[in-house]
Amino acid sequence: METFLTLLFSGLSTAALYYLLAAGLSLSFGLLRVLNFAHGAVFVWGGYTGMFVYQLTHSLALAVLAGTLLGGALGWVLERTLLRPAYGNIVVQVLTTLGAFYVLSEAIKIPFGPDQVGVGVPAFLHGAWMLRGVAVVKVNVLLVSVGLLVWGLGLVWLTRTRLGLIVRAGIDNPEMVMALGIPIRRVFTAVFAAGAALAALGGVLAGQYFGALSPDMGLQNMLNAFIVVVVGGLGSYNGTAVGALLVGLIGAFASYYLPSQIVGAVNVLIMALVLIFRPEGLFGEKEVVV
Amino acid sequence: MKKRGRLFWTAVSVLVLAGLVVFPTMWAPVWLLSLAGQIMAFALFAMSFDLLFGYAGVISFGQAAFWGIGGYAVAIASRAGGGAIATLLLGAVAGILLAAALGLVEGFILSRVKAGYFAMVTLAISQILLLLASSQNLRPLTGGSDGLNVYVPRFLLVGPATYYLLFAVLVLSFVVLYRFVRSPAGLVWRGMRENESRIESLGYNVLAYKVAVNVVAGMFAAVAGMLYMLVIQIATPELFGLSNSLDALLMVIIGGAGTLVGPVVGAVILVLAEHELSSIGSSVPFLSHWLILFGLMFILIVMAAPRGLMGTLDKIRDSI
Amino acid sequence: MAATLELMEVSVTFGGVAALSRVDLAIEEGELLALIGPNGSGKTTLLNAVSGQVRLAAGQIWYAGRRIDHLPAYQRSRLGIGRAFQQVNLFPGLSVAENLRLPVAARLGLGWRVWREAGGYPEVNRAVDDLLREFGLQDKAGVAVGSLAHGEKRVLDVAVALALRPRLLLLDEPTAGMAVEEVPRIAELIRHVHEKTGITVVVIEHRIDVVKALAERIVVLYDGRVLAAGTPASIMADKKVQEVYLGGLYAQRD
Repeated sequence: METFLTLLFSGLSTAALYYLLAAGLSLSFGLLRVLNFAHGAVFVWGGYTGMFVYQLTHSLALAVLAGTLLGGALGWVLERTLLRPAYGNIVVQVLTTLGAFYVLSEAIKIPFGPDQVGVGVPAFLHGAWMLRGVAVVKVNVLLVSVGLLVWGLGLVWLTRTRLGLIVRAGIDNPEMVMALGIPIRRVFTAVFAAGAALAALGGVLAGQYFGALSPDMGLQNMLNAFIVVVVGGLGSYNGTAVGALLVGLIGAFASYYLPSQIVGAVNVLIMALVLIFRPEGLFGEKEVVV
Repeated sequence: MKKRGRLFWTAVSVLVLAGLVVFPTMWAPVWLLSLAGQIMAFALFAMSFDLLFGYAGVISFGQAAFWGIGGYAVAIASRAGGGAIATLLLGAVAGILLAAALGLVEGFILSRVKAGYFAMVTLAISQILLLLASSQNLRPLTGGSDGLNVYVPRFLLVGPATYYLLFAVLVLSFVVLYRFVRSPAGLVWRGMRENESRIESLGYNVLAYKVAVNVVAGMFAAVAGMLYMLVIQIATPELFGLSNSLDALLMVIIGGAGTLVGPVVGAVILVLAEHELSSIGSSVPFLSHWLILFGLMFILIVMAAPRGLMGTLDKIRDSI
Repeated sequence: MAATLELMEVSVTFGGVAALSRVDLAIEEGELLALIGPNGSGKTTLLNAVSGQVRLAAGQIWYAGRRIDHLPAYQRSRLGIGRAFQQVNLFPGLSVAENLRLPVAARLGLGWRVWREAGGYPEVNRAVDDLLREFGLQDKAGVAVGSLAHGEKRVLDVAVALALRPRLLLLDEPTAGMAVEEVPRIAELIRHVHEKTGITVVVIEHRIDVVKALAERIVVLYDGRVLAAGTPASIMADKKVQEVYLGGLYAQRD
């Protein structure tokens, strides 16, 4: 029982991390029809920025703020320079965002070096609480709370605000929204930047979670986020959350019983099965084929 | 006018080929042969990717999966047989079959999903292979993160023997791929790139053509990986890395997608540039981050000249 | 004569909205039938259901004595159902000759040949040359389709569909987007093909003059249902049709 609960909590916290990365991917795909391959690099940049700011200020709040803002700024630049000239041309967008991933992942090595670096973690996040033999790691509590908070705020934003309404309408029918005279392009930029900011926030928290960062952790985490999005259904808001829970929990339990390298293969296997039997994802809507 | 242009290009090709055959008999320092070998291996790798991307219009970010399968097949076989030719050939056949099997599985996924998805799936698959190859549990087979040394048969170490073997395989593969893309099946692949649903409504089984092109491209990429092993003589997990898939993409994009010759030109440019930049990089620190320059160049070419070097040359020639 | 194409209680829905509801329709061998109806009445969906681009929610489709509604599109094409689309639907990066070579190679079953050059099959070349001549495109053989004029693209579109030598040809607004002076060329072409080969033709058409001149029988769709079917004269006289489709104009004139 103790093992089960420990694994459950650990699974929930990876799920939260995946969710932060996947939410932006899913939203920007739903609205912009863009698969953003630069997402993982933004995650890494967020992580390193957070680490750097924490070193300077010893304030986690400032680190989170700085990382998130930088992520948003990166997203804004990427949307303006790479995506905007090529809407409708999936091939070009996929290729240029992958190029950006590569450039950003290499560029982070200039100031911080190519190897793994340790991340400072504030004292209040050290260690774990013991509740009847179950270890509740403090960092995990932070991750899960942030994940839940982001999910809740996002839900309120999508259902209660004007911009959220526009985004949902845009996902259903972009032409209609444009015909209504709404500057959808500006909404595109905002949504994309917000998604990038979430990825960067995920990076800052990942630094706290692992206690270390390396330039190449972007790729692996981005792939896991992609898998989450595919499993949940691209563009489906709650589908992404459920996908993150599924992949996070399966990963946690699998890593207890299987060698860690196999766990990655398990994720890819889940994705392959979903793509073969339900290509639109568990909660995605089937697109009308004409 | 057109005929004269053709004569000119034929003459150029014959001269280049003759030069490539003759030069090692006169001047063949080891470093040059090794560099030429790397170029040829990458040229075949990029050609295989051109078949997939340039002709059939399929975006994959995981072509390195096949490159690595070929490399490890040869490395493992060479260790098992201590460099004996029979085991090496057996390993090569096994590697090609394995690549075909992976191509088959990927091909079925390809037929179910949209463009960007497939790029993601293939990237994930190659990443998994990278993790497996560096896994501690598989160390007895793959050598873990240290990799495996490749025992090359002795006769290939004599003078430019490896060079000529690679050259022969490359030319042969080029001829085969050239026939493929010019054949009726090649026309269907190009049609698929241009308009998939119409190809289907003409009575072609798109699923089968997608699977086929992924299998064929994968098999040639595996052969390219084997050639690479004969040159660098060590298989490391990085063979499966994204940077190799990206190299193939870059070579095809620089040289010109859908031309077959373009990727060869792209391979020459890129391997030489990597070679030069990494040696300059040791004295000029900024240039040690030359990968960034490649990435930027890649983005610029995709956005500004999607037809690549050969395609752009063709266009210029057409307009003259 | 027996019906070659028969739709039985065919329904198609998109996201819960019915695009076709319980359509019954029988088309005879060798008929030239026009499908008309206001926008959104389900005309294109009906053609898509027959050629396999959409799945049925209910009902059956039979063609030449076989049930076809579960077959993928490429297999229906092999049974002799040819299709031209509303938007020009060609291979823009390929030449005109290559656009025609694809369907001809499909018909002759050469699609899996991987060695000889695509242009090196005499039987394919003959068929392609015949098509180029028949459709007045012989000067354009080597031209990339992307650089053709719109009217030429439409002509080529029909030629590609016919290159398969279908027994049933489905045309979706072949004159859409055409300049007025180009319209007779296409209408004449359709009549010519129909008379020469005797194939069954179903054509969606908005231009009433073209419909009246071409069709032997007209089917009117409205709101996903068959509203009326009959000869051009009887359709023009039909009160229901006048009301929903031809508008007050015809009614007032009578």
